[in-house]
Amino acid sequence: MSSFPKIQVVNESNLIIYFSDEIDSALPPQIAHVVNQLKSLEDGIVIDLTPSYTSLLITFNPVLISADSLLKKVATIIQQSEQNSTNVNSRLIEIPVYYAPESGLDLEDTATVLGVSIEQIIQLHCEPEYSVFALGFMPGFAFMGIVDERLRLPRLSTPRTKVPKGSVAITEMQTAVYPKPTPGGWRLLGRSPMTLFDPYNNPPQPYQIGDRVKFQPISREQYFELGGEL
Amino acid sequence: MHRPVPAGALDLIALFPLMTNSIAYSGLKVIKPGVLSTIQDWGRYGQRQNGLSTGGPIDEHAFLWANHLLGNPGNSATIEITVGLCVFESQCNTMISICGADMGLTINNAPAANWSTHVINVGDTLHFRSARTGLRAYLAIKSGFNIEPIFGSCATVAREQLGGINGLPLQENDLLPVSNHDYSANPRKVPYSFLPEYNNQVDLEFIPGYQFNRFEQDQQQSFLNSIFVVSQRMDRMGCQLQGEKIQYSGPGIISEGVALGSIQIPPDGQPIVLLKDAGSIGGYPKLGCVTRLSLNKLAQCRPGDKLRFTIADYKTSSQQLAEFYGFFNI
Repeated sequence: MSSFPKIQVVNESNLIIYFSDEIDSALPPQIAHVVNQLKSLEDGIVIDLTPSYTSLLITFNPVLISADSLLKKVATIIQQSEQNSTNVNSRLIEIPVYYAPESGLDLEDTATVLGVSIEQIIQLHCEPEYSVFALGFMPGFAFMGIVDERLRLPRLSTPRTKVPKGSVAITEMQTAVYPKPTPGGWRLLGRSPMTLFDPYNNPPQPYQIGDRVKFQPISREQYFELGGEL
Repeated sequence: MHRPVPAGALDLIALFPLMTNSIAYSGLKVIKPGVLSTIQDWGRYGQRQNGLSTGGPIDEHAFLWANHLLGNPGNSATIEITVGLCVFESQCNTMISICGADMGLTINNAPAANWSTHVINVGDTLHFRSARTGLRAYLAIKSGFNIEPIFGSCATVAREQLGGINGLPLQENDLLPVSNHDYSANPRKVPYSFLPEYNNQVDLEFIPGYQFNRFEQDQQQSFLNSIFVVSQRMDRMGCQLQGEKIQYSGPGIISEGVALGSIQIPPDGQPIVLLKDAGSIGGYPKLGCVTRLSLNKLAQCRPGDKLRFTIADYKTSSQQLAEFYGFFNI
């Protein structure tokens, strides 16, 4: 028998649910479903929800509820959601990417290291549907997976001091798009012109945990038409 | 992002051009921002699932008292002053309060008591020296600073470029507007029995959790028996400590939501306590969380201060926290 999901008290105002101890594409939709159920609890009890790969941190208002009472409510919600886990609707989001050595600064090097052609790398990267496992690191940054085994490489030994905005990157089994320039150690394959964080939108990013993402190769011309910059 | 103009203010500007200075924009002007001064309200809640940090006051105790003295709602926007060395000029007649680290505030060169309210008038200069004890002070103003919220909060999280004015710590010449200058409130100060002492030897309570049980027992003991020193590596994201190296030899951690006060153990074995601007998820093993009330003590610790950790029970800590928040109606 599996011991998951399990709920633990973290501190005076947080509980954490562990859904598994292994990363699995089936988890994000399940976690997203629990997130939605928890949002429907009485006003003000749940202050914040932090879903990640295999877990969900629940921040609650200790003035309104005790950790133990909330733990019981959460256990019920999980039980119910396990019965209804089929009716989770996850969206498919397409992200346009201009894959080229001039936009993907590690594309040529990655091809050399892996001993494959640039075309093969592009194909291996844009073919799968990825799951959004977690949001974090910086506004609009989504940790996505699972990258094809043939594309898996460790981080760069020396991180870049400035990854260009919109860079589409991979490391190990993960892929992501950098919404803004930042230091970073992932390998860059291309660039997307898509806006990934707009503080005047709610939600501010195009994807949520549990959504699926597909990368759509575009030409240099399309990249500029869509507002991309080099 | 633009500076906010209260609704209706433009009509008034047209009708009463001479009054605009006192109606639409007046508040405080930043003459010198000092080491680090940021706009902070209670924080940006409900956005962690979008990957955003909470922000908000590092020392909730001093922040809540500063607003409470003025009769402000507990989430009103204040200035969090770190270390000090800042100067503001008043552009209106109003009332302020100052709580937290004692930075030797003077108003027009006259000493102004800490943990108290003060009336200020147009042209007054508020001058903060560097903190004598403690690290952070809160400057609140009657009805709060009227800064445009983003995701429901004007808390500055500089790393995310959100909140404050243009997502930045305060800059020279920033104008911090206040919309309501009614200050019929009586002068008040924090009762003596509620005043904290900011010591350089602090006991912090923590609630064991997360991966605590995956640390070897001798490592748990080593953490509990050690005296740690606050390092120079401390900011609004976290506070790194120096001391006995704590080793983690358990299985790898899959990145997970990190609660406020989480005690992370990075590979170098030197604990990092996560504060309000920390990222929402992290992959280091964690021993548990410093209690919210103890975080208020840590907020006032300076590099070189000595810390010791003691185990707290979450039920007792929850009750204490609920009472504390209940008092301030948070």
